[in-house]
Amino acid sequence: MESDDQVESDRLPSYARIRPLALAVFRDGPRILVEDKWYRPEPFYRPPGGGVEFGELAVEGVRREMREEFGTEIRDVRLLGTLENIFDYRGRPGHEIVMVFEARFVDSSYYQAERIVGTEGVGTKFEAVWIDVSQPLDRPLYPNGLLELLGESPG
Amino acid sequence: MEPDPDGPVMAERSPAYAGIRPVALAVIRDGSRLLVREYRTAKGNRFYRPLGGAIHFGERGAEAVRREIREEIGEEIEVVRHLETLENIFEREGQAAHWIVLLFEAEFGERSQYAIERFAGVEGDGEHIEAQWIDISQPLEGPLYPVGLLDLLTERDV
Repeated sequence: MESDDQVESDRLPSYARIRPLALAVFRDGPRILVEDKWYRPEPFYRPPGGGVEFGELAVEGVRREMREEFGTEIRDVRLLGTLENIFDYRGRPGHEIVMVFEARFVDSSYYQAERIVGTEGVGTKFEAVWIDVSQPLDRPLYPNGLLELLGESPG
Repeated sequence: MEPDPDGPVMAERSPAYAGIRPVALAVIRDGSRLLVREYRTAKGNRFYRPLGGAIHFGERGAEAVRREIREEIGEEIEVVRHLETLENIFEREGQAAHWIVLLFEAEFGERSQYAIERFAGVEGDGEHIEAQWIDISQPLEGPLYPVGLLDLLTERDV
């Protein structure tokens, strides 16, 4: 398992690299916060978070992403589990290793807000919304396996 | 799940996650014995690590562990469950390294496999491989990697 594999993967284009992600699940009873910004090719929901950067722990990544996207600090961050997400996106394969954290907002007003405005790295605005995951959803919730993971660890 | 709309396109040339190495390792135990491979650093210092290796693109961690052990020592294993994910950020021979290690509890299918003292094999590059049991309830002759594994198995008793 030494350097050969590593050299090989460094030669590949980034779409053929496994992408590590760190996501934050904020819970409020049966509701969780998801991003309302995913529309391609079909609309879907996903908790906020993003890619882990080289040299950064996933928990640091999730704190950084929440600071960048919502300008807020979070607390009580704990790892719920790891999901392996292998998919096809418009004929192009994708592979993510998703570390899913549970967290709480320091500022409790986030739990009262219907919609929370976030900012992408490029400056684009998007919204995050609370959805009741005990009810049938109007869009798929990704990553696959998230609901099962939440069920194993009741909030 | 889909890639970020703003992620892969911008990230095409040099994504911030480039260099992170996803690895799957097999935790095969027999009482307080753990199956490991012994390594030496460039300076000759001994260290241990369970068998396994890099997860290939499109391959699940459990498949990676089975494939690696087949390739490394020619044995078949059964993956029981995902135990834990450990993140190791370290320097190796002067190079920064970042591993995300999926640990899988695994078992041999045959009781007789546990009686084998040393497993021998050959790495893809021709390097000789030897796997052996170490007793993790006793002081070890070198560190056990990834960092966090020994605590997980001895302190947290998973």
